Amino acid sequence: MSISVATMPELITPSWRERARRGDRRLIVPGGLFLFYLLAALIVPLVWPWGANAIHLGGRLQAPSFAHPFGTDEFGRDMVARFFTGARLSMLVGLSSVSIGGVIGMVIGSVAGLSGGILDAIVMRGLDTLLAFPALILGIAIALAIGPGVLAPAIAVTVASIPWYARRVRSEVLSLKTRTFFDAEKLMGWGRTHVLWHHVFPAVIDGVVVQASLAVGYAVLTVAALGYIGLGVQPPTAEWGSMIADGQTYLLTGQWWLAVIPGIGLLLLVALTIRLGDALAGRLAYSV
Amino acid sequence: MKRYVVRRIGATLIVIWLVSVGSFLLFRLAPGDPARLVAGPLASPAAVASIRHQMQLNESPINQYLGYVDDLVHGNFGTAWHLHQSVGSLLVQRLPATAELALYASILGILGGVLIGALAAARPGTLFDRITGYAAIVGLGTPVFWLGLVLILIFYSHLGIAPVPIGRLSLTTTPPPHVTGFLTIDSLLAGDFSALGDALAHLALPVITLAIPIAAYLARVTRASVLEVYDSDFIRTARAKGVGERRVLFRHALRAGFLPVMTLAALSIGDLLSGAVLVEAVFNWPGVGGLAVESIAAHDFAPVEAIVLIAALTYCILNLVTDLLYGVVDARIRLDGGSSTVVRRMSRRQFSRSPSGTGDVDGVVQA
Amino acid sequence: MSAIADTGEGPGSARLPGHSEDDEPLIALNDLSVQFQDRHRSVTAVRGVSIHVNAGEVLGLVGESGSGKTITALSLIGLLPPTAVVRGGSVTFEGIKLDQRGLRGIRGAKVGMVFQNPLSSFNPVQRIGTQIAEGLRLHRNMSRSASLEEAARLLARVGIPEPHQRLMSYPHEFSGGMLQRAMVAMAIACQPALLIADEPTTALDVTVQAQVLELFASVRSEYGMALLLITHNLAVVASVADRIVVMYAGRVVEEGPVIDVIQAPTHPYTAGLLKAVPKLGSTDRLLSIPGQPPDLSKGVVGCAYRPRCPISGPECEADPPLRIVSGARCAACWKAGSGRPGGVLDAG
Repeated sequence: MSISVATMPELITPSWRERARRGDRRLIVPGGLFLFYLLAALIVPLVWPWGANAIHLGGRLQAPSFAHPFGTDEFGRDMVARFFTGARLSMLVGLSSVSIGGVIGMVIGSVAGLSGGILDAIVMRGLDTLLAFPALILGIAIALAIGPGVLAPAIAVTVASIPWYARRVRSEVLSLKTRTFFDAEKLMGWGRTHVLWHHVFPAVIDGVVVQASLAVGYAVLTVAALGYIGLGVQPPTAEWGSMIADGQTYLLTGQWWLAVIPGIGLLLLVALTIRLGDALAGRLAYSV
Repeated sequence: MKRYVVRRIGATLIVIWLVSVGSFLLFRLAPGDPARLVAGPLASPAAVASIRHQMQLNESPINQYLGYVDDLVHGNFGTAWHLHQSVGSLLVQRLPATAELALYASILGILGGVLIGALAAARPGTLFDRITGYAAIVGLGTPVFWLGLVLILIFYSHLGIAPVPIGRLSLTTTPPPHVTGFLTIDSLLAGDFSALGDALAHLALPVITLAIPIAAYLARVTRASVLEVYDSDFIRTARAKGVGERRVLFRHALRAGFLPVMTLAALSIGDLLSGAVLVEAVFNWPGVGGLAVESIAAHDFAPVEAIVLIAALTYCILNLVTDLLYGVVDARIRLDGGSSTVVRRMSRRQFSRSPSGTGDVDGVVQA
Repeated sequence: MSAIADTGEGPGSARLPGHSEDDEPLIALNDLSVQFQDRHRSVTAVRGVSIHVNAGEVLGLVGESGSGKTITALSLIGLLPPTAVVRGGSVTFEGIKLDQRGLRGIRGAKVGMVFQNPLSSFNPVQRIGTQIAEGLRLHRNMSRSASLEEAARLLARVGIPEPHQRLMSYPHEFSGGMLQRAMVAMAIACQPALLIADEPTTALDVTVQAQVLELFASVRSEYGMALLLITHNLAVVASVADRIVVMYAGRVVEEGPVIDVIQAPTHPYTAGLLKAVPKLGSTDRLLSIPGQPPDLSKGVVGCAYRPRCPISGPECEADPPLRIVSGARCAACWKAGSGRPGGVLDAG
């Protein structure tokens, strides 16, 4: 087309930082909702009158009511308390695993991309190996090795997310390498750490953030899945996956809230993170 | 092309080797007593000792590893003590159930997802696009095991149109003679239409449950990929030739944008395996995934170890197959020798466009 | 027929000069205005443009980048990008006004288009033969084998050696010049009455340029096709075109038979363009037009060329309409027809 870019309206999507500064609604709304959810998960367990593990055998299996908006479970424990305690657990594990995994992945990907050659090939094969173990399967394996609990899902989810960051960062670094300013840096004799810290990381961090927001949802789902099959967080600690597993026996006898409500919590959380991830990426199109 | 095939096979072999090392480390060298894990909590000390001897746990790690690989190669995965059967025979027995479920779920998920994604890309911003977009987010974000439970609640408990969710056939139906292990095929071959109907009825909910996350994911990816392609110059050329929009979408845009979709579909096979484990647990499906979950509950870990390893190996092989298919489909790889890896290719701009095209800095499809 | 804004000031006429009632143009664009919108601003790419192409003739559409010439050409076949908003105008083909469906009907069948960048204009994952044959299968209902046969014949016609082997090749296996020829083959496959070529030579070497132009000429004489040639290269237009239309800032500023316009331009912009063309063997300073084209996202008040025009005067605060200057020529300038513009212009 003969219309020069200079006269066309701005067609380059600005980064999420820029849009956040401008108050772009598509970013603010999911971001705000997510923060709200997070705050609720942190605050409700502290201020709610019923404890998450307080057993009341006299008030078992009560349907949702004013006193117990989410009902009670088979031990009479209040479901609201358990729901938000579980939310807190899922979010904390999800966010921390994604952050740690993100940092590790970023470093690995940058080093591999910058180095090239044998080191790069070795790293790629290592990443491929990690990718061969889906998060759930890896979680099962680690839980076998170190025993069930919160650690196994956390490690599994962190480790399983590393290849995604690493690959993405690596490909961005590779395309960075082709830009001429990069060679200019090498000419100046900067050490590798300097290059990494001052040039590579700032350039790739935006992509990592986008990837991370999508990874949080996946992490949360995996932790819940491991909880469902009994290899994650153990009872009596409230965790959404194990709550669903416990509640499924009551599903067909009419006490649906035991299994359904934690699932809705999961769904809301993950859907929010995906939406947030899309908004951060700034695309009208959805993507990975 | 030959170079590409050789490189891909070589890389896969290396990864397979690394996978074996990785699982060896996890199962034999982890804290805890591997022999006790395999023998089970009920085994006598003598039994545990004999297993420890079998597993060569007193030898050096290298010898252990070699013994481990030797066992694997001979198909010796140990014994599932709670079922009194060798793991190998259990796997063979249960594989068809999982394969049948996975096959139908992938077909449904892939076709449905790609179709919806393409149609949504053809009319961006419309109600259809928005609704399918939200549906895709929900489909991706719903835990698959919970989804199965909800579907059971709705279709079995409330609507009564789904059969009792235990297994592949009703208790009253005689299974058809075993040919492939796929109940649908076997009953068709035997001309037993009531068994076929029953098998399909039992397959319906698990297949849908497993297919939904796949479809949601592929819908999103396809939409993104097709949208990117839609801006390209050659799409404009096709229109200039008078090609109608439907043909432009399916013959040109989808065809050209399909490669990243296919690659990502392969990478998401891992999700299919995990999903199968969970879905089989929910629906009491007698497949490999169900075996894993049962064994975990029974503290019988030999089958679980085997399944973890097999899952990883299956993933490697499927990935290789996809890479090779990719090489066939993408002529550019064929002719330039395939020096770039699939991921690098995906992250480059695939198609050029004139300066007025949108400068989407992030790139749409990245791994 | 094209409409010309009639302000009552000059010899206004609703009919383009040089045409009688029975001389219908093959295709005509009437009073087209196109804007590009996004959330922040809008750019008026084309304002009130009317052009027409007569059967069998070569029309050269000339202007700088951003003058709106490509948009104009794309509008002729209704191929504007989705961000474009049409604010007015219509297309008439063989006397009949066409809506979107009608425009789709003439694409490929009656009007073929050759684009600027051959490599990106072909589908990279489809073979060349299939792409050329697609139009034939669509518009002529040919079978697969027949259309491929014809595609091979077309490849040979445009001068590509070993056409049958080449059918099976992919676009990236061709050189730029050959790919441009292949695109010509694709565009003429259904023997359209009009061929639109958007900067067909810009991306090519000079020697290849000449070959492509020759190809156009031979194809034209064989099929009796009209050619709408869009370019910023005046030399090409001078050698090939019958008529010329000059665009500036989204408007037509001059129009007429090519020899006349080049020898005696009436619009100062045309004059400036001609003076900027370096002459072989001349040692004179290269003269460029001072200033920049206007920013089309802001409304243009008065004559768009005024800031750069050497002969502008107070009347140029009003936007001059396109008016007949003499015979078959029009110009959008208040000073047109009142002696030579610029004062320092030499013919040629």
